[in-house]
Amino acid sequence: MRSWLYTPANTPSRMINAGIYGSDGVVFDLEDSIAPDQKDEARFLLEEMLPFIADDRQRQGILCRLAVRINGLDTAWWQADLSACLHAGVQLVRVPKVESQADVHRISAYLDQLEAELKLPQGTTKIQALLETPLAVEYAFLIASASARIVAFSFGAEDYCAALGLRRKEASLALDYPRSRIASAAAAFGLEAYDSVWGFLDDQAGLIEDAKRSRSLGFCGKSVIHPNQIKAINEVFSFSAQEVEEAQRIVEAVKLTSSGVLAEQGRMVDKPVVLWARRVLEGRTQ
Amino acid sequence: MDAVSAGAMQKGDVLVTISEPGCERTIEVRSTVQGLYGRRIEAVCKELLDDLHIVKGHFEVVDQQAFDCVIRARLRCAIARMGGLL
Repeated sequence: MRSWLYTPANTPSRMINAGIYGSDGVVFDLEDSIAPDQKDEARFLLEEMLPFIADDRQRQGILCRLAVRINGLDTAWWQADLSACLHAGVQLVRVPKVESQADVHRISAYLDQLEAELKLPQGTTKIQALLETPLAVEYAFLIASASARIVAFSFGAEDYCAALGLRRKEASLALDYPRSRIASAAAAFGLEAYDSVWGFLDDQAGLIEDAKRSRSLGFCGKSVIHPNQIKAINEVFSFSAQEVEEAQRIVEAVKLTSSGVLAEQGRMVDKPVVLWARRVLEGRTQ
Repeated sequence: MDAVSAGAMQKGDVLVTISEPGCERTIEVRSTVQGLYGRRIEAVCKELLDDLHIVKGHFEVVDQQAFDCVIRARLRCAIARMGGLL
């Protein structure tokens, strides 16, 4: 999944159109973009609209995954949010400010309860954990190991920078460490890792530079806040034609030899390189 | 409680206002597509209110070309905000 477009979950016209811009996924947001006195409206809207949107996409052949970002565990809303999600048929929730194994266990226990009430198979609902604080970054490995429900990490750079007293645009060096740690912990458990949004809508060059940096550190995609950011993000997180060609050459060369190691155009090709080539041909950036 | 609302006056949305919770149920629909869909919108509201066994209250529905699912969502929210006391 290269791109996830955030869309407020209380604006019907934006919700219905969110899948048409070419992002690989859409995150309907119940958190920051919804005012406290509109949380209930958004939940009812999700419950009624999501089955309709899912049917509409199926009819139109739009391949776009749906997720919902709920409110954090430090609020009074997260349980009602999860309940609305499951009633709407949502199978993927993005949980903000996850900081520990205990947080994951708390969410999982409530999902267990809801799935039992709704007679859904246990474990149906998967979690993207949003890691946004230094504590979360340090605990990334333990968070990844906390539940089989966790399928991805998402990094929240804005809150991370705020915790360190940094301005986002001037923090590119400081972000290398949390990004590396998150991507590595995710890879250790076979999870995907998505990078933070780029909030500067008029700075397309900055967006691309930021995305290239996160891809080089092991992320497979990025969240976006505007449809205008999707094309660039999809390009950055896709394999180039040269990469695909090189991967094809490697896989073909391996078929013609029984040796574990060979040379291909001056490069040593061994097991990890073949693994990389197969991932390229499968279209997986992580 | 006097009146409660849910929704918005934006394209694709609908503003539902419930008032007079003690009175006999009435549904008043105004829509930018009244001629084409006015009766349909009223039927969507009536079906949901019947399902919820709501027989009291004045329901003002100001539609801006909302889908049926949006109308149901806003109506359910307004009812919840009224505390279901209808």
